[in-house]
Amino acid sequence: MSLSSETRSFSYTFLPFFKFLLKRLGFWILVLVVGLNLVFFLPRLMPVSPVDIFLTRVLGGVGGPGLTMGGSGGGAAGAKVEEIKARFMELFGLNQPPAIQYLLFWKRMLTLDFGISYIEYPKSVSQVVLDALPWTLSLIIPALIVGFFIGTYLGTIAAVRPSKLKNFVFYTFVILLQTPYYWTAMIFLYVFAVYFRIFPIKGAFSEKWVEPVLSWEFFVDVLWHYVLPFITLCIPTIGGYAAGMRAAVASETRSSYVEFCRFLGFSQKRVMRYIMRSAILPNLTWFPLTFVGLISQTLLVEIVFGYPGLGFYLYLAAFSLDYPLMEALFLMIMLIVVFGSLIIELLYGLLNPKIGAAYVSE
Amino acid sequence: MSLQPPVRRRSLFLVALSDKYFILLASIFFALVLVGAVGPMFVGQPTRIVGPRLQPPCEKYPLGTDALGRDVLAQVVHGIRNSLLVGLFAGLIAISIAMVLGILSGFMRGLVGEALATVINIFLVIPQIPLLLLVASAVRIRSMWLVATLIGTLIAWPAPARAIRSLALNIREREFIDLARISAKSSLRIAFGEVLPNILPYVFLQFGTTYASAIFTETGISLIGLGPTDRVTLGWILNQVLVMNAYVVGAWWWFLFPGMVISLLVLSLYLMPLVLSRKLQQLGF
Repeated sequence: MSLSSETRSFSYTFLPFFKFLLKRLGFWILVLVVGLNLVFFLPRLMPVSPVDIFLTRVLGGVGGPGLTMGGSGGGAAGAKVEEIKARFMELFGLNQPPAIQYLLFWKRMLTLDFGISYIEYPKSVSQVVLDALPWTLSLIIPALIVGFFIGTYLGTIAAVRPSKLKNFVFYTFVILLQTPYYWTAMIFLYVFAVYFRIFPIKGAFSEKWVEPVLSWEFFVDVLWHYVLPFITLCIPTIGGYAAGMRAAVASETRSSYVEFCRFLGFSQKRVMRYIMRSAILPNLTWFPLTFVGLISQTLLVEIVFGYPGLGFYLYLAAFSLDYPLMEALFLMIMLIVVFGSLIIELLYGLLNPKIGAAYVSE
Repeated sequence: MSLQPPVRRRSLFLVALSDKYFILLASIFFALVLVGAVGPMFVGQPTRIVGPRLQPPCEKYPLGTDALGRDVLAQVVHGIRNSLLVGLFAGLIAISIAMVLGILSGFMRGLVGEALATVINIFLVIPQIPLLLLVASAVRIRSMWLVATLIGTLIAWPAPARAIRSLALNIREREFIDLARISAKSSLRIAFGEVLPNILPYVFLQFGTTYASAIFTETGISLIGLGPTDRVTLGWILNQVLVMNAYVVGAWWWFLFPGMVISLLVLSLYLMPLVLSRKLQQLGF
């Protein structure tokens, strides 16, 4: 008897959860497929081929100074350009018919073999991406967590017991949310790195270390470089969560069940617990969206701070037109989005299967 | 949010004028529009070298000059105009896409509605800046309109589409929709003849947010140097700041003012619909 009731309760609580999980998994796989297809098709829909741009940049224009310096005549130069172009076409696989190119693209995506990077010459593209990944993750994850807790707290206290000071802090963050974070980064750099010289101006660690090592001194140095980009990223995250939480608490406070609880004579503390429980839901459902937004923000902030993460390399790759590296970086960013969001959804599906179900039915 | 009879345009206008925060935000925004509209007639070419390098603000150059000796004021004024134009064009494209997809996905039942909703949700989570960066870098000469089209069609529409969808979902359950169904109107005619007029004021409010996010995105992509190559935008100025390390040489005037202008633009555009919708809610619309 007890066993059957147990299995029943299992199927009631966990079956919806597994359904939810499968549905989300399907969705995120679809996101991955659509995103990667966009990366393949969109640049090819553009009027110019990347090879042409790359060649112009490398050679300084067809027949430009880059070639005539080689001492060859005009005709020979033309032939040489064609030859170089053919080599590049082969390298990019662009001499193949489109269908084969498409298959080659997916082969690169699945085998993670993107060849050798142009930017960091002897390293493979995958190695460059893997080296950059920890720096980006170490910015995103703490910023998301810290931003969530401080923002939710700030929004709650601003909604429950508003005072001049709390409102001032709250509105400051809401205004900073609409301020370009890369501009905030520039101001931080000017004030703290140039004017007061408290923090370093660029990079993730001092130049005396050629590459990361395991030592206390290095760790402190990394933290020192970490402060400014981290604070820059926290500001808009805090603002977003604070604004969302304040609106949610305010609208819950007005709802009829709160009034009913007050009539029943519940203590303020108990009523607050009910309010908080439902007000936090929208903030939780926004978690994946904030996460995606935060990734875009991190990329730009990394560029301003010269922080050697994915965004910084994406910037370099876009300029040297290192297409394989761009593809690999985009794949990695998509993977972060997909796995990060899946983990977040899984976590609150586990915390409360009802939240998961509500999330799907939304 | 309950959808009462549509707010008539006239009354929306009156409501707007009776809110002091709205007046404040609107005057900030229209002052900037005015600067963008007539300002370029009074300042010189933004890319011409006119004075000494890195001149701090003085009488002749109220916002100083940059590392090449170009007038920052001229850049900001032209930047306001072009950023507003790029944002407007991108915002219009985005809100049109959002309106069609949002209404259809909210109104259609069954597979079509579900599929459209999934499309919206997918585009919502594809990381925007990297995608835009990848596409923009494939084109060497980017006109302002190309960049605006890219932002409008790739980046700016999913968020408003989701908001419009939730409104359409809400209105689908109302009696007059049933009435329209009984009178054998086609679904498309109901969607755009009955649902659309009812949510049009909210689409209008949503446009402010979309406009703001389009300007924000353009600035971000220009910061990396992948914005329009034929015009000066506010993001382009920040790109020059970044490339020429303005903060290292201590040229605070070079990036302080452009950034403030961007904040004011985005803040006023973003908060105007927010203030307005709160006012409408208070009045019980």
